[in-house]
Amino acid sequence: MIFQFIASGVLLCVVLYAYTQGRMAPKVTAFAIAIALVGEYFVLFPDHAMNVANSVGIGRGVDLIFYVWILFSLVALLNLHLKLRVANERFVSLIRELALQRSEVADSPPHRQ
Amino acid sequence: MNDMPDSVFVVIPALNEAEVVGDVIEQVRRECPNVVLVNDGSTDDTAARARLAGAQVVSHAINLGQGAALQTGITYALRLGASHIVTFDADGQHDPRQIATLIQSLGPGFDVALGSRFKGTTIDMPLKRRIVLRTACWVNYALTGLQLSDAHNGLRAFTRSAAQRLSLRQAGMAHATEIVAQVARHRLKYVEVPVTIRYTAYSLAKGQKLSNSVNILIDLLLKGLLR
Repeated sequence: MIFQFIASGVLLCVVLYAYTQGRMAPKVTAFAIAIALVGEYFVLFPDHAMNVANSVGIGRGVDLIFYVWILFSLVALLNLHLKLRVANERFVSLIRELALQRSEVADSPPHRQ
Repeated sequence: MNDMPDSVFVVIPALNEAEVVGDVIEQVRRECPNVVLVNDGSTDDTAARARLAGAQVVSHAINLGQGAALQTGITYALRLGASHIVTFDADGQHDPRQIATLIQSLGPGFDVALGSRFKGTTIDMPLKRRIVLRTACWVNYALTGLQLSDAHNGLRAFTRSAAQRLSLRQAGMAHATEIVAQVARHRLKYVEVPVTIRYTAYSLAKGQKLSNSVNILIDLLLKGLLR
């Protein structure tokens, strides 16, 4: 029962945090809230996880949760990686433009007083 | 100096090439006076030696990669009014006299001249590198649809209009395939020109590691996902 309180508290925090980020990334927010609510459901009714696991050919509910967690983690990792690459592209463009502007300043003739 | 047009610019990306860059630029300037060296975050005297040898130097504050350096140099040369742009390696592998050959090859209606060591000559090329480069040609063909004899040759020439269409997003070494892909996408007319590549202990030590080929492939595939 203690762990159920802790897990419920953490999942509630996830829902609240995701809600606050809704404007920046609505799809990710909706996804995170949905996952957190499903997690909360299985925390409150662990036997139902077993039923779902059995219906998809997995022996235990805990295994189902574990496999799904691995899959979501990998998808999240790929998503983060792709976002990092986009951020890196912007960073490269910024450094390149800075280099070009500096060279233009260096090449331009000095102002006469 | 030959009868090279005044508005030809040679772009040389460089990272920590102080040992050789001065000699390379002096040799290139005998063929073409307009040399733009892009100092890609070097921590040695590359920029100072390049300036001393007569190059215009554009410096990245940090190391970004050869693709980014090439794009910076091409943009800079275009802003200076270049009619043709030649890309050239800083490590002394290329023969500056072949710059004129590349520019002449663009004459009869071509947009891009791509140097090919396999149609030309290689000096002291290790077997492993030959195998990797041949494999890279097939990967290039699979990804771009262009069947070239040489996949990653840094000696190329572009007309102004072709250079204006280039927009390299691959900051690292995968830019070589990206250039070929953009040649195909923009339907630029290209010609392969036989060139000579001389491998030295210095250039082999400075050159990319063979294991980097896998990283290049992953870069290209991930970039495909981002499109």
